[in-house]
Amino acid sequence: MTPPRIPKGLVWAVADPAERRYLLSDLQEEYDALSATRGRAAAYRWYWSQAVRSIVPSLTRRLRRRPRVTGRAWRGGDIPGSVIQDARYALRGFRRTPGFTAVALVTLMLGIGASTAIFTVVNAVLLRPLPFNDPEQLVTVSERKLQGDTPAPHVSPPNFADWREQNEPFSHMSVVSPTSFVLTGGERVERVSGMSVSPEFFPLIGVQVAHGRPFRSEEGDSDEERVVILSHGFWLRWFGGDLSALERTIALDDHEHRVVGVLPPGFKFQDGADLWTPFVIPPENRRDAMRGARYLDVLARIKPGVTFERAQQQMDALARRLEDRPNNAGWGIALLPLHEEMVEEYRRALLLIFGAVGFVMLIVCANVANLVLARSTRRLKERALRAALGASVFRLFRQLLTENVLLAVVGGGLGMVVAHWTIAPLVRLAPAAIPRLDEVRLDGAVFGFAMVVSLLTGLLFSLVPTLLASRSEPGSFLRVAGASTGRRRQRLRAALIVSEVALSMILLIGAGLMTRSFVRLRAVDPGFAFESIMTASLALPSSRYESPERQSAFYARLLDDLGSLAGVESVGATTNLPMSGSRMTFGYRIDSRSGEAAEEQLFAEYHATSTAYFRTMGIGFLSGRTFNAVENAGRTKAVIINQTLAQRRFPGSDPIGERLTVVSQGGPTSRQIVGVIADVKHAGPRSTAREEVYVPLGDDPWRFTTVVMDVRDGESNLRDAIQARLSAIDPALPLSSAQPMARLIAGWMAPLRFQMLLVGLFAVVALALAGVGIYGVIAYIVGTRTNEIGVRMALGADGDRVFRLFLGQGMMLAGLGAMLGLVGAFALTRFVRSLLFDVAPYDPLTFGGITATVLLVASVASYLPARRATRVDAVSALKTE
Amino acid sequence: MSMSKGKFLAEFELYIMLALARLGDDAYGVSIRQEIEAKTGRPVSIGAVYATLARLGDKGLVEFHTSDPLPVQGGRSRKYFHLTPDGRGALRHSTEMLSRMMEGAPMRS
Repeated sequence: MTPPRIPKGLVWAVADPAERRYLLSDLQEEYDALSATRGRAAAYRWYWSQAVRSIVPSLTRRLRRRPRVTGRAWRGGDIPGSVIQDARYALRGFRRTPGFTAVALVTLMLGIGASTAIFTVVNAVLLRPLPFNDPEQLVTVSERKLQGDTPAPHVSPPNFADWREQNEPFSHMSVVSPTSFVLTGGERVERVSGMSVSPEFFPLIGVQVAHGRPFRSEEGDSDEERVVILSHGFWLRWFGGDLSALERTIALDDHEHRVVGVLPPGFKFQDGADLWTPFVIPPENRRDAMRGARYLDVLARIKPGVTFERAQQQMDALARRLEDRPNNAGWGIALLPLHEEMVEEYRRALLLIFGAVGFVMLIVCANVANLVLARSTRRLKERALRAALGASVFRLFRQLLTENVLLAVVGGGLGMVVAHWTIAPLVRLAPAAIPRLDEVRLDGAVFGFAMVVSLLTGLLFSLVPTLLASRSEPGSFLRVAGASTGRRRQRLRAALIVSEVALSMILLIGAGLMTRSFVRLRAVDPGFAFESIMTASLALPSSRYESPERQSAFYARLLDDLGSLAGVESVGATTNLPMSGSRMTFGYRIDSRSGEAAEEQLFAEYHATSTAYFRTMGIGFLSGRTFNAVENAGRTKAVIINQTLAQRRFPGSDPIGERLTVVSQGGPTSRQIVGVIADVKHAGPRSTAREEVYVPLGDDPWRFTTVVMDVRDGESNLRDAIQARLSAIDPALPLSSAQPMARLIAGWMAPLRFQMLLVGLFAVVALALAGVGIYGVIAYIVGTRTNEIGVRMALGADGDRVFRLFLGQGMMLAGLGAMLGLVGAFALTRFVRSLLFDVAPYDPLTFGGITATVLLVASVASYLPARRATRVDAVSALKTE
Repeated sequence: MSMSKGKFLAEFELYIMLALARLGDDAYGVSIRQEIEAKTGRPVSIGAVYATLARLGDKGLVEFHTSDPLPVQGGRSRKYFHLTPDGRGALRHSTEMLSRMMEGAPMRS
């Protein structure tokens, strides 16, 4: 059994070099025994706790031991003796001031712990390279409108074919199309995730099949002989890891597919897939008429030695050469590094969170520097004595540095433990949609990060007091906290507090803005009623549902059957459910304007829906009506458009009765507009409406649809009922997913909720630290001015005045910090604009509310020591003089 | 500098030495740690055991010998500890003092 690496390294580092081997061997022995009796997890926890609890005794022992006559470990002295001396001295000092040590350690532990936990997530999602060969050479390639916004970044089949033949910068290009198959032949019919890719895909990614062979290039030209490559997991599950699988076939969508290869274990692309088939572009899809049908996702590998910029330039040139083809005018080609594509959405959010971590670490540094300053003031006499006895400024600095680095490293070690226990809940809170979240774990890079942060922190808060001290002559130390040094120190501490308050203010305002956005976002009307909607997706196997007629008949019967279910008010179906991430974009043309501006290619999101879809979803009609039976049967061609299309293309006039020529799977068709519906938030609650066209599902049936049902009393047992009806029509057809619409919507809110929670958490920690800092400074000022208070009281000042004096000082610091914080927030919140929703970055409510909160916390933090000042007894205060 | 505590043993030092006396030839890190943990019911870290043993070694109360790794894969290296004559003397002294001090003191049982 291998014990956990981090605690093992910890023990190795702290143990006496002469005893390391025995100590680790003992730990291993007990670890093995525990693993066998109480399980791996218990043994793992035990090892961690042993390691952590061994730190203090082992280090104390090593630093305290007297020079030994025997023993070989120290003879050469693996660390210079004077550093050990410094460290020993520091340990004694810490023991004499347990309050200081505890507060400093807790501050460091929280700060470093939180940062390390966050770093771990950022490391896995953003920094660790993809598990492919030279991932920086991989790009996604898509068509992009040169002017205006591109409806959807996809590629049409004829353009892909042209690019593949004519491009210069790429060594490989591949279509990547997630799909699913109905797998028969097992005990029951199963739906299996699949990926349809060009034969070049595996060489492109740089992955070799573990067994068998990759696709042959001719397998991408026609599907006469169907082949499939299995994921390692599927091979184990279905064939028990038997190599004879390579001569067998499996039935997918009722077609026999010959197994030709097995992928290596651990290979995962995007969401992962069990079965991989060659993507075939049939010749009829390569016609020029299909150039407007942009729906392919394309991945490419840039040739070695070609830069990203050069590749983009070469593809720009290619786009210009192809511009004279139909539907290509005004279109360019956009490259995007794959890595960026995978994490782009989260990059800004994660960087924001990283920024929050940085702020918290700065506050931690300021707080600990404050503590160190207070402590070093008390030790001025001692330092003066050492200086007078001949210690150089450098030597005194080194002493201080040793103390602080020791403090920071122990704090960092404790922080690692905090991080270790924080990561699991953090990952659980995170929306599952964040890519590569399952790769999050503590590792060497994280350990290194925590150590570097600790050391930097130690260095940073050592510099301040040293710079202060070294500016004065050694002689001045002997004047014992001379008035000028004292005042300068106080000014410095005040400055630290002011910046702490300012930093936490900025964080709080950020968190406040995000919370307000979240509340606004929840209140958004998506344009349809979702509370009572149940959804169920299904896909028809192409073999048995080849003809549109069969598909239409199936849908008609299914919708009819489901409508008769008890509790179901209304049933509809659509190809692209709102907020499900599914969408299609096709070109269209306004027939009456085919003469003028013919070059302008228009695009709309395309939906094929059943007649009752709009009623079921509660989508309102602004004018016109839904499809009738004749139109659903395709005998007259009809189309429904949304409000945005109507307003943009038919401003000030009634579009009903106008005709649009809409491209679809069957090529362009001229259709009459029969209705205009209200806009729907299709791509999530933050999306702005795009132009949309809806055609009857019976007229243009697709193999995949989502059925929506308006259900009276929730989802109880509905799934089984739906499955039963489905089986009655086609026993071999599995249901892929059935879930309430409300769950889909919650999924859209999850990332924002996660960001809000993290930033909010940091802001609260920051505010607490700033409060502790203010409390510490005011308490310290009260402490050093006990004499002065005594004199004032003796001269007749009453408690109230003394109280107001100190409360006022605390509030002045807080006020100054709050002002700076407001200025900083004004400057910085612009950068989070894209994360906000319907809230101005300068939202006065947030700014005002946060300012009030900060001042309130500051007043509580100053109140306590100020109260203490009023209780000073004048006589005893003066006696101490 | 930690001040000399005379010939008295600190509490944890006493536990360790009692464990050594009880375990005899089989006293090494694992057995000592488990012995104290079992008898006192308190969690004991291996680091504390080694640190204390080293301190007792400095005082000349404890010696050790090491065993070569067993000739199997991952064979253990063990460090066996035992009391020196001085150590036995100190243990006797400490326990004697302790029992004398306890005589007549009202103890809850």
